[in-house]
Amino acid sequence: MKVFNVTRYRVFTLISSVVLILIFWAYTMIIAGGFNFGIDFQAGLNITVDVPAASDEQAIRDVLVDYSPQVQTAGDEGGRFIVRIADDSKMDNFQQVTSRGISETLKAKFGSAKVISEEYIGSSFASNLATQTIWVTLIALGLILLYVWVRFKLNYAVSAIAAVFHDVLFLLGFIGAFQLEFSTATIAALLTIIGYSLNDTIVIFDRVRENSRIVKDKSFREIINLSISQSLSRTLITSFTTLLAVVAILVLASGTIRTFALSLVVGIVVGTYSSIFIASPILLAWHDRDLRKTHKAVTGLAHSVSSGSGSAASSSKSQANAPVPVKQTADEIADATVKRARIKARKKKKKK
Amino acid sequence: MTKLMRILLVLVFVGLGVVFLYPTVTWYFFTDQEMKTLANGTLNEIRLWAEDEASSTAEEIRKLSQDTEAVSAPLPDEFGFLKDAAKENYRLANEEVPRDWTLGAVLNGFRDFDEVSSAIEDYYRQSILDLKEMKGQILALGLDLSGGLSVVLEPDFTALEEASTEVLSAEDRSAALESALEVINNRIDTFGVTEPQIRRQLDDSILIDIPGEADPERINSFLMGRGSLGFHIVDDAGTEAIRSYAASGGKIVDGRPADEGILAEGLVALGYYTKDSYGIDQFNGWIAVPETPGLDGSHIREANPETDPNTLQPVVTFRLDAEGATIFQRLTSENTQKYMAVVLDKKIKANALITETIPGGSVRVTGFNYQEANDLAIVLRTGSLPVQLNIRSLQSVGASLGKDTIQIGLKAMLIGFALVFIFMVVWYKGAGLIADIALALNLFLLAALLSSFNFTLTMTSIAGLILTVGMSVDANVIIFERIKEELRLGKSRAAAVEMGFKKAFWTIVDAQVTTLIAALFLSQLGKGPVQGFAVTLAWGIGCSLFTALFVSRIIFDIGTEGFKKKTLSIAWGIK
Repeated sequence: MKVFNVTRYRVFTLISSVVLILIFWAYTMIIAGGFNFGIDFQAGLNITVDVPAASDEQAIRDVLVDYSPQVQTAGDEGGRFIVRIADDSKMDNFQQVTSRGISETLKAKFGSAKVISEEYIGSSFASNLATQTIWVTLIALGLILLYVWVRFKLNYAVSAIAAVFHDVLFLLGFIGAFQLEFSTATIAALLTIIGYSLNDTIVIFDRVRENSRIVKDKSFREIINLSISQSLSRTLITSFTTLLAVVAILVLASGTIRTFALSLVVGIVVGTYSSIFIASPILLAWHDRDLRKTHKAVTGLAHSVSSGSGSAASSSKSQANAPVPVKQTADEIADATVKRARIKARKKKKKK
Repeated sequence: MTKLMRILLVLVFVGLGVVFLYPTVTWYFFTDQEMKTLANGTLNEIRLWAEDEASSTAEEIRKLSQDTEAVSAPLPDEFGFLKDAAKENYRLANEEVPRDWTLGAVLNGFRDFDEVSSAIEDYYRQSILDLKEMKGQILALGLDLSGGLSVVLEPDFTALEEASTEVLSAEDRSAALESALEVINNRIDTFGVTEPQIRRQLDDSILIDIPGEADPERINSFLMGRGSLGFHIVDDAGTEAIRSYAASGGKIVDGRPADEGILAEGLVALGYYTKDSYGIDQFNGWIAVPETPGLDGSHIREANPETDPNTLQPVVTFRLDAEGATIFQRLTSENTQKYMAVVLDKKIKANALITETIPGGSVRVTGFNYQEANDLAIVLRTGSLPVQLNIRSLQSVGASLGKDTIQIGLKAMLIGFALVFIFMVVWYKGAGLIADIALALNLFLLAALLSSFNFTLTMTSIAGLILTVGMSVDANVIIFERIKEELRLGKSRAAAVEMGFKKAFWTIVDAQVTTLIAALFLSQLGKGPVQGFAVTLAWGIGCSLFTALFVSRIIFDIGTEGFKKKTLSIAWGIK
């Protein structure tokens, strides 16, 4: 089997991900003027209305100028518009009064106006849903972190969650930059992607955990590459089949469902990418840092024993110049330290 | 666990699934639209329909019964339901049950034709009420998919606080809200065609769902005005006049007869209603009362259902404020031996004889059963406790828009799932078929589980469904890839399957439990759309773990042990 050297590109992938996310967010916030929040997050009234006699959005806007509405064309056949009016909670019975006012004004002007659907969200609810969802999701991620920590190790857990944050930030950036409507369906898409990305990452990490137990003669970096390569066919097949289902919806459906499917497609691609190119490199970087720390401590110790000089600060330099046997000893000592700690822990458990 | 036990376990689950899914399938595929609309209807609608159907059916039978040939012929199938009622009657009368159920034999089981009519009406009513009950056990469609009106109302206690001298306790608020719910419930039986679902939510808001209704105006009919309650002294002469007028076919509009001369100025004719076997108001004739009540309901401070210690009969006791007590004492002393009517929202709910002067502002009303007494107490409270309800959110989706959405969405989903099924077979050959069986079983069990607790399917729960399918496929893919690795090492079918499942087990459990944790948490604490997603996903993962780790394994084992297969059809190029 061919082993792909995935981690070779880690600096490139990490940086390009960060840059892309920053570009998306900067574009969203500065040029597009923030997210295109749907009715669920903005107090106000949303009316979908059929006005066959109205030629375009501007015609509707002109008639309803008193309400200062946002008008959007809906559907492909023309004559259907979405009118949105913000509720500044200055008026009593805002929904009843405005709803009737709009439909009567349109009828008077265009002869026929049929209200297809109507949504109203009061101001107390609009902000509630968003904040509550964010908090609940964060706590849920915390619980996941705990589970993965128990089942794997802390560094696995943090890397997996980091990948999830990467996916969420990327998808949010994408939605903002392309001004897709941010609705409850978007929340559903984000939650789906969190679940999907986690699942994907955990499967690869499980292989890493297994391989690092079996394969003794390889470095952690090689083990990660081996694990990703071994589970690559599974990763691709799963992503492909899930994409099949979602793309069918993207192609056939319309309206909110289509936006939802588009978010899912982007999310699945990013989720797959992140479990290979984001989660694993972070895991490796964390491991390398730990290893360097151990090295520093051990080589520092070795140096002070052999020559009585060389501080921890200059140890990395001296390590490069050090003769090969010493380096190996350091590695072995590092491994042995870990092993001893593990045996100790196991003994402790048994005593309990 | 032996193999037989495992197969039995799967069969038990499948059997349970069929039982749970039966109402849903019957409802969506074998119930015609007219019946569905009726089952969604208010009790009033159902009564009107049952009466209509019964009278036309009764007419048919009456015609048949005049034909001697038809009378001695066996009972036609469409009237088969009458046989059971007749059988019951024969048994009650201790008569011999006839052997041949001819039309004549069936009709002889009834005392007179009215009894036949009421048996027919019972049958029609029960058939719709049964359907209504079945509706409580199906996988419902959310308003975003089926069309309808959904409103969340939140109570505003400021008016109540201003009116009250003390600080409102939690119980006061809760009682006020309960009253508001009762008022809304009372008004709903009066208006409209479809029956709304009204729920009090955890945060004290009130959710009203009206399926198939898209006119937001309708919600205003619930909100306009509060229940008005009053005590009126019945005008006997007026009542007699209005009853004979109505009996001779006179029309009464807005409480006044069309012929102005019938009822004296200042009197109104109101219907007297009691609850009937449908649990809805049954009209009991007209009663004439003065337009202005003798005592306004705003003087009521509290109303309690109690049991009379002497007679053990339920009574409603209500206490009046000081001014109300004075008015009531004068009212009852001036009108002894007259009837007093309790009027709520222009309906007379109780009509009782005043036997003596009632002093002290504490009034006991008898003549109700406990349920009615309880209802009346709530009704009395609703008449006097004002809670302002504001619209927090409203969503109305035209039924046609909902239908389009769900039809296209469902089609897209079916095509997507079909593609997944085909791909699995093409890629994994025989094993792909096993994965497909597991996936189909997964969806089947999930649908059955969700129907069993009358889950409402919305857009976001469909998102949960898609993720479930993705993860279910993933579990099978992980297992198959492991089995392939083992096969490449040259292991036999049995050994490769054994090792493949063993190695994949913890991978799958870890991957899915991680997501399950999030799903369970969100399903408990999430709101609306988030919850719909999480509940579907949580149960989906449960089913997926079961089908992938348990069911797929059994099918592989049956192949190995049952059919003595030595090779495994799992990929192109691996034997």
